[in-house]
Amino acid sequence: MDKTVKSGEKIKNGKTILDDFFNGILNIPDVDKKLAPEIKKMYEEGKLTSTNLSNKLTSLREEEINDKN
Amino acid sequence: MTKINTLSVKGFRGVKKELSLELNSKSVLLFGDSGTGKSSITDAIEWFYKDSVKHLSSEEIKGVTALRNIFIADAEKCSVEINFTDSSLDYQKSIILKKSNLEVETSNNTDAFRKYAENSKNENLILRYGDLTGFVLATKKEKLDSLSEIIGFSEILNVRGVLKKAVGDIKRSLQSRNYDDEINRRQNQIMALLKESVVSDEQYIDKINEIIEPLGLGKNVADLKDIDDLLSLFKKSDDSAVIEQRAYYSDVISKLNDLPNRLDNLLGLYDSYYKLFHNIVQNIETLKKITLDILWREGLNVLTGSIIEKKDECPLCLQEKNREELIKEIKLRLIPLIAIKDEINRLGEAKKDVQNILNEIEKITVGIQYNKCFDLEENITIKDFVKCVKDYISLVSQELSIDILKVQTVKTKDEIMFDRVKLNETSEFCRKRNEFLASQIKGNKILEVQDKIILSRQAYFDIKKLKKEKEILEKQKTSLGTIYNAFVQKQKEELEAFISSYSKEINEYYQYMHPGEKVENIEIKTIEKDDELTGITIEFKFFNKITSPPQKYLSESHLNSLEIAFFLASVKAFNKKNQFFILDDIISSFDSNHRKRLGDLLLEKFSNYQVFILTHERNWFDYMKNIVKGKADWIVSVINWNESKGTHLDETLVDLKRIIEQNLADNDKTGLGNLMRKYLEGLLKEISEEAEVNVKYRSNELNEDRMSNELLSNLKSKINKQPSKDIFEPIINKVMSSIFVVNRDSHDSSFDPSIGDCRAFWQDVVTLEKLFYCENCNKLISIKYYDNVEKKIRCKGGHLEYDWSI
Repeated sequence: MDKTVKSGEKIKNGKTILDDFFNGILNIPDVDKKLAPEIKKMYEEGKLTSTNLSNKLTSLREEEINDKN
Repeated sequence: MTKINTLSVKGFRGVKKELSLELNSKSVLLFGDSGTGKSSITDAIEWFYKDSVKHLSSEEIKGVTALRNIFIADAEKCSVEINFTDSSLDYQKSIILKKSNLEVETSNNTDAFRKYAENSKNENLILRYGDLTGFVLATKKEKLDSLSEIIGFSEILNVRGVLKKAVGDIKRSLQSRNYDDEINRRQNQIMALLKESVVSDEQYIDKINEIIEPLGLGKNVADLKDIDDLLSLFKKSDDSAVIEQRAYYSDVISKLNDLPNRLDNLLGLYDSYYKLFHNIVQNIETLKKITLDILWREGLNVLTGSIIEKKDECPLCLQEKNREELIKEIKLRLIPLIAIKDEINRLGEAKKDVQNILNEIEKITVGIQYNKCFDLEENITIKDFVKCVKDYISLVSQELSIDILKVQTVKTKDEIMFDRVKLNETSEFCRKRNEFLASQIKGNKILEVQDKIILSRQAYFDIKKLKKEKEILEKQKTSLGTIYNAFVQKQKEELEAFISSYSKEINEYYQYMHPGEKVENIEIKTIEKDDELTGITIEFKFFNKITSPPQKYLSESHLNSLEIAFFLASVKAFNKKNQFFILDDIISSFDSNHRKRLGDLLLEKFSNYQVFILTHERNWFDYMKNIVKGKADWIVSVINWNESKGTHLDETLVDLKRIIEQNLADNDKTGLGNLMRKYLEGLLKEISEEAEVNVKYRSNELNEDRMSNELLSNLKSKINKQPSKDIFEPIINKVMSSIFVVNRDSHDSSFDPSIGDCRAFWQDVVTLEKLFYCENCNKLISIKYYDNVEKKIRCKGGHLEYDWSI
């Protein structure tokens, strides 16, 4: 990534940085293919809170345990 | 981005009559002595954007009372109106006196303006002398907060907090469950039963086939699913119940062995909950106000929204109350609640962590209870134990359900200790029952094999389940850790990119103002603690040695320069809606060299911005006036104050001429003599400058104070040496002999000219002007356009020319 901002170029605000990050979350290597889209969805719906993420992680775990057993 | 076309201020602070700056997006240089009310202009712009003026908002100055000019009549408007290059944003804001109350009225309630105004609130529009140490001397944390607020990093920190907590929760889950211990205990059980540890399905299946071989059942196990079919081959007998019970007791022992670890975790998490609870109740008065939080927030929505017509009345109690003041008051009340609400949220998280462990413990008891062996009479110890656990869960749940707003205490962790003696007794009971049952089937090969298969299968399946759970948790931990690290990396990269660019601009502007002064490489540095951003500091090279903070070595004027550099860099970095900014008397601590450099910096680096420069420093004004002279995108004016107009702008010659000619047309001689004298003085100053008429040296401000007779006399001396003196001399003599032009005291003399006298004098002034002023190119004749060959002085276009010697 280019680490400098050209003179006069407006810096990214927090929202733009977050949008950039979550748009690229599916491309982060070694991340669970089910988890990344769920986190992205929660962010896009404005529901990325500790409680919601914790509940989602629990339900994904239960789903996977039931799938395999 | 927008610029200002016109700014009109009326009845606001020092401005009594309307003060209008017709800018058409041009920059403006305004000079005014101290006390002329220059800052009324800055105050007006600040109020326009921020609904208040920082230096006029205090406990002793309420609302808008200090903003309305105290000399204007009750019926008169106090208003600030700005017309922008984007006319959809044109807006007038007024303070009106209604029934002894001051009310604020606005003209543009469109969404476009509301959005623009909201975005503009955080932009860097005004820098005053009083702000010159704001950022540089702020604490590291304040600097971080200030930048975070502007950049919007608080949103990033929130998301980072959510991801970090999720990673931490999963790590804690893995540690608290202690999967390895639970797996090892079951491996030991298998080892005891099968005399070897089992690490794979194949190995387990081989072992089962090995132990059933001597029984000659004629069936082998090929898959784990075949074990059920295998067990069905064993004939049911009275002793089969023994095997069932042994399986039950083994399972209970495993579960009881898993319990101490859960209880330890529970106590640790409960203790955190207890401490948070007690921290919050320390601040009981603020805590009680939490109940009003919803009311205040809703009130704020009502007051700032457009549902209720804007008038200065509290919509709840219907008492008269200034709207802006009420909004400000509610916002102030909400501030202390933010911290306590954060604490309450953390308490909720801690409560949830305890509840999760309680759920796990409950699951264990349910596993013990829902088995037909549980109901056997001899299992009274197990039943007692299950009841004991249920009571314990109720006890802890009761503490978790306490409403902190109603009850201000919860039990300590020592008061909720679980009776572990009971746990050990139950475990011992199960162990003894198991031993007894084992002795019952000893020697019965078929039952012994059946027992080994059932017990080992139970342990092996438990191991498989535990391994799976651990693997999934670890996978989530890795994934979340990777996401979190990528997020932190992204945040760092963006912040570093921003800081590097921001530092570069700050350094560039500072170096421009202070070249070669051994203060170099000014940089903003982030401070991190435990991977968290905790502050921002400013570093620089001072005589080649890296040092921090700036106030350690820099003088007041250097610190002021640094703050100006910060402001200017912030204008470029953060302002997205407005392409203008105001510098109000910011150079008081600078020497003349640095003042000039600041002027040059503004013209060189901010030429695409609309700059408002207000100053009472005559030297700097003169310098700036000189460098912006002839630039089409700059306007220069002088601010004055008098009792009738309050703060007002000096009229330009064009304005004066228009007023004089209107008065003459209206036969209105009121003040006409003074206006004409003023016009003549202005005209003679311009002629003298262009024709290089020598005048006696006077220091700065006195230089501006020359009277017509002195200027005419010097002009006459110059003209007398010219070949074309006959053209000029008669009219100069005529004007000089006029009763209007005598001496300095004439401004206040008792001479009362008739309208005819005025007309005659004005005619002479216009005649004099026409000799020097070219109406084709709208310029005076000037030495700048002197023709050395023809020896002529000319106007710019060469339409007007005279023989002239220099």
